[in-house]
Amino acid sequence: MIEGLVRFIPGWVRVEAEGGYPERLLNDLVRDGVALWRVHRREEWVRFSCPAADYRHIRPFARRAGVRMRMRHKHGLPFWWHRYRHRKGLLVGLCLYGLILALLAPRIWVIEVVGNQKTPTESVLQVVEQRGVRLGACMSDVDVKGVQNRGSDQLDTVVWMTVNPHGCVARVEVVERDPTPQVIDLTGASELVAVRDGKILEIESRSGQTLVKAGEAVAAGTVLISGRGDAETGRTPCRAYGAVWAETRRRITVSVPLKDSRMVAAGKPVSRPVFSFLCWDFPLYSSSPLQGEYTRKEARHYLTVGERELPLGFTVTTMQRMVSEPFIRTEQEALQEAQTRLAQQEQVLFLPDSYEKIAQTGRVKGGRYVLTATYVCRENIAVEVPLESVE
Amino acid sequence: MQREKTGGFFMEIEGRQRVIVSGCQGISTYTEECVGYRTPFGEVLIYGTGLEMGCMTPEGATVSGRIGRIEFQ
Repeated sequence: MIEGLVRFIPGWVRVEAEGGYPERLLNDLVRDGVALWRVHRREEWVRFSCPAADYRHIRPFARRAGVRMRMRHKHGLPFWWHRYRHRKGLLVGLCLYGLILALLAPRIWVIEVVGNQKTPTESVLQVVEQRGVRLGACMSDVDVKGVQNRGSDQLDTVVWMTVNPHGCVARVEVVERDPTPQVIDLTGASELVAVRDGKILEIESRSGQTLVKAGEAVAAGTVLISGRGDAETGRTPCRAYGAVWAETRRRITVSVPLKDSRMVAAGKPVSRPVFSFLCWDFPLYSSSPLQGEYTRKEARHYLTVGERELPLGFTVTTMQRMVSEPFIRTEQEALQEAQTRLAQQEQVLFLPDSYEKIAQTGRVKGGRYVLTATYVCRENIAVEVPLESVE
Repeated sequence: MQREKTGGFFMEIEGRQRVIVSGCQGISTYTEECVGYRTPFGEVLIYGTGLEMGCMTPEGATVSGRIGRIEFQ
């Protein structure tokens, strides 16, 4: 391969010599410093290859050896260049290709983060960006030692990280810290108090004296697990720790106005395309300010290779002007809206599969639709209260 | 030291396919069946079939083909 390239650049010729004394010709040429290769003898002729620049030089030797010589083939860059010398575009294209390759090949085109499960990729990217790992930056400017030595200092969940360059891809490898076992701090006296009324189902007591039993009904404020000391029994004050699961009744009320306003689209949407290449963005729109309220929708159209997205493409942001419009809900529409809001409240307040709706009432009151739902829940009603605050 | 003893002439044989000759003083004969080199010890003849010289420089040459025998004269 390298040998072929070394011969291609100055060019070489295939020569056929016939008659006379070919051995003498070969000896004279070699003695004169001409490199020959693929020397091939068949009957009366001998063929060999030599550098193009030596071809004129070997003619006197051929005459002296009494051989007739002719060139059979010409190969290499000088002949290729001579053939295409009138095609200037080819040269321009070749130069451009070389220039683009020299400019872009050493740069980072793709950043991959691997090994992170708990640590957000964005956080890792922010840290490595300070060490030179950013789209469009030169791969040689990346402070790999800095990433290895100080990268993990800024992320609590990361124990070690590095950057491995693979061509134009900077692969950030992250090793996450194993979770430290939680050590419960049992210093300081406290007690667990019921936060709401309920019927106790299960008690998980880790520390302290349990004062209630499963099946008992308790009111809000009842002490469930006590950490108080007792001089008679010799028990010292401690921190009450555990959970008390109880069946409780909860009520959620949501109200939806019948007269309301909503945002509706007005006018044509405005598209703002941006052409992006590596770390450079080129807006393809006039930057006139937008008045009023707009919704913003972004669509990315980037080149991909396999599953990798290249930093070359368009981002089209569509801005839609929105105006407020009054409207009146029917009772049915208000019920649907109230049920949606109720479902959102359930997700916020209750654990999944820990509640059951037992009753629901809805009515219109004062221009609003009021929906009330009652639930039977299974929840931990114990709340820790320090003994100092109790006393 | 070794070079002085051999007068600079060395020959390496790679199986029956290739012979590398260095330090020779030129070709004495060259046909498809026989390639001869002048050396400080006389003439070396390499016999075989389909003989071809891969490269030829003032320092030496390589002969490839099916080597039959090598003879000193």
